[in-house]
Amino acid sequence: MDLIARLRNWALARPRVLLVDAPGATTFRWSVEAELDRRGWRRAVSPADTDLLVVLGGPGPALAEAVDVLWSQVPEPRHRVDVQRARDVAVALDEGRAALVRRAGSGARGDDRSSPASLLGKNEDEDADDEGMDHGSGHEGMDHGSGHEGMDHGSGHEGMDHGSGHEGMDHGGEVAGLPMASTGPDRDGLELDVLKVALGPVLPGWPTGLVLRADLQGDVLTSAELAWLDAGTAPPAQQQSDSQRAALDRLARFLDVAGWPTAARDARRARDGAAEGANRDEAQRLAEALARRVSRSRTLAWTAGGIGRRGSGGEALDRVRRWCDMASGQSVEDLPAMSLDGVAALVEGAEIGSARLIVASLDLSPVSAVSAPGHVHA
Amino acid sequence: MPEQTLAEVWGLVPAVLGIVAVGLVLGVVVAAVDRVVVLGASRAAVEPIRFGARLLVEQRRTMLAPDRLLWRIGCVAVPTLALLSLAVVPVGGRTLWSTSADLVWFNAMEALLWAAVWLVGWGPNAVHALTGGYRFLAQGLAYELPLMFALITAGLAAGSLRTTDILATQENLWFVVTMPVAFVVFVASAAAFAFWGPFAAPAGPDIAGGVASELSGVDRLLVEAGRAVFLGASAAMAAALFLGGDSGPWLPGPLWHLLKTLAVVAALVWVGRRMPVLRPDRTVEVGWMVLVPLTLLQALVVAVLVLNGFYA
Repeated sequence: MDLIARLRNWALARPRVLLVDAPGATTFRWSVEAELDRRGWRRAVSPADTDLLVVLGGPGPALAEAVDVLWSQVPEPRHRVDVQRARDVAVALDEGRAALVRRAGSGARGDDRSSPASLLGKNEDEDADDEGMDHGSGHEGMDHGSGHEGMDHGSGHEGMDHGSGHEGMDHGGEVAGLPMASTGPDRDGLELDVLKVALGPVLPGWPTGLVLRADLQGDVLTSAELAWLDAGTAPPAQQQSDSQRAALDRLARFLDVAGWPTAARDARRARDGAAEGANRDEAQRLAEALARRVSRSRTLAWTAGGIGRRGSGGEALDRVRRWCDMASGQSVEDLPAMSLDGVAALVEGAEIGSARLIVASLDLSPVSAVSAPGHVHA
Repeated sequence: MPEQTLAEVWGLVPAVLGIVAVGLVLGVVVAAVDRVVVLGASRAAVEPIRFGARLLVEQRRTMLAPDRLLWRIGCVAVPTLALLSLAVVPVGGRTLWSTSADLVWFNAMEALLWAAVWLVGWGPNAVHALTGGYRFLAQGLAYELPLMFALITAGLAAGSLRTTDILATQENLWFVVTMPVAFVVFVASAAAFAFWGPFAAPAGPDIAGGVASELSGVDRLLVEAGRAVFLGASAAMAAALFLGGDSGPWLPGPLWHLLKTLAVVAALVWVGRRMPVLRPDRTVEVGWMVLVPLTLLQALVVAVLVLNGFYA
């Protein structure tokens, strides 16, 4: 093996993985994350950061299309793996890595991929004759296009929705076929740029399949609306048999969003250790230490406090502390599930980072949306 | 009478190459220590090098309607400014070149970083990157004044803005003893302008990587390397300004400076990774209400000591 090939092999020995867990694949995701941690492979936070795209379970039609757009944003060398069953994961990851190295060696530059513009064009056509995909989010034709946002570029893709004429907003001209952001009054009474953005359906620590649509002024979200992709075809409720592991998982995802990687790492370790009989005691100690550290952290209270207050349920920080109790093994009674409209009211007017923390502090799954028809207010 | 600079002793080109090499080594050391602390495994120390090699074989991304020129300028400027700020940090007792206002030079490179990071966020025409750019500017408002006061306190005690003069003044007593606040503020500001650790909001995971969210290949390598070199250069500067640089018994001077730099890096990473990201809107409040008065008070104390001939 020549030196360059060896070097390439070494460089890609630990690829960055972007996980897309189709709704209902939660425990599946845990086993994949445990496998990634064992191998020392890190998780990507955006498509630009990705080498391997790993899709778990069977995404519905709208999520599958969103994943296609996401895939078009991943730079070469790249490889996509679809895994259906937990026991195939190790093999699939090994194959994915080998394919990645081959692809890097062949010098493929991804000329076969469709450009972002063509994908947008396609969406626009589909929007026109595919109203059935809208799932009652109240935006004619909007749903589909912005479902493809993937993890980034609210700006580019969203603009097309204006272009297709569903929104009666003025825009100040076009750039590259996209309308410019328009202006509107902000909370301080100033005229500020308004950008239509969509967050989701795939983001770090974000419930996969959830799409938040809002106006962005500076970094403040207004007129927020939330919807699940493929809400009509959501899988039946997956009963969480192990509430302690579930709490540790939620905690890990929240800590990821809060930018506390060492604590998130410990939460994952405790979650994965709790599954293995041999390390159970050690995992329990780790979980208790982590729960103490997080619930007593003054820095976290200072930086994440005072957001997402929800009636009797307290603010985001209270919900996280509840999870800490659950994570250390105490039994805590369940809070009532929250409707998406209730969540939208919570993130209304929040800074984008606070909105992410609020969503991460709620246990959202498409199942609860189905069980609460008509989006009843909480 | 200014001492000879590295450029005069070694010739300009070897001296510049030497400083670049020192900068890159410092950057790799910072990134390696960071990885080891974050992943909790000592084998993670090679990950930054692997990451760099991976980025070299990766494709550059294009976006829809990017501001390509400004984007590329921003990406190149981050590591360039980091290396330029290292030019006035004493390496082996000498700086690359001496400007009679070294502290101002260091601060200017760091202030130009505002523009560079803003361009990296602005360039790709994407929401998360732009939000990261906004956040960096907000964060800059919080750390810039305290950082300037911290820097000027060291210059005040030495009666000179030249880093080699500041080193010479500390032969008897390290400045950290009389100016602990300035030292802590300087190191924390270094983390803030490298938007790292608790100050990583401009590149936070809550905005999918922020300013770095659309970077891939060489562009990402430049920005990430620049951040690490900035941290390494700031640690070396902190060791020179407050910890006596290369003064110490038994060992040769450069080794002392290296050890002190490594100690600052280790302490910075260990403390910084034990807390979550701080929100820029809240750090601005602390920066102005707490840190500005504190650093001014610190400067006042040092000024009184100078008038009493304490440092003479």
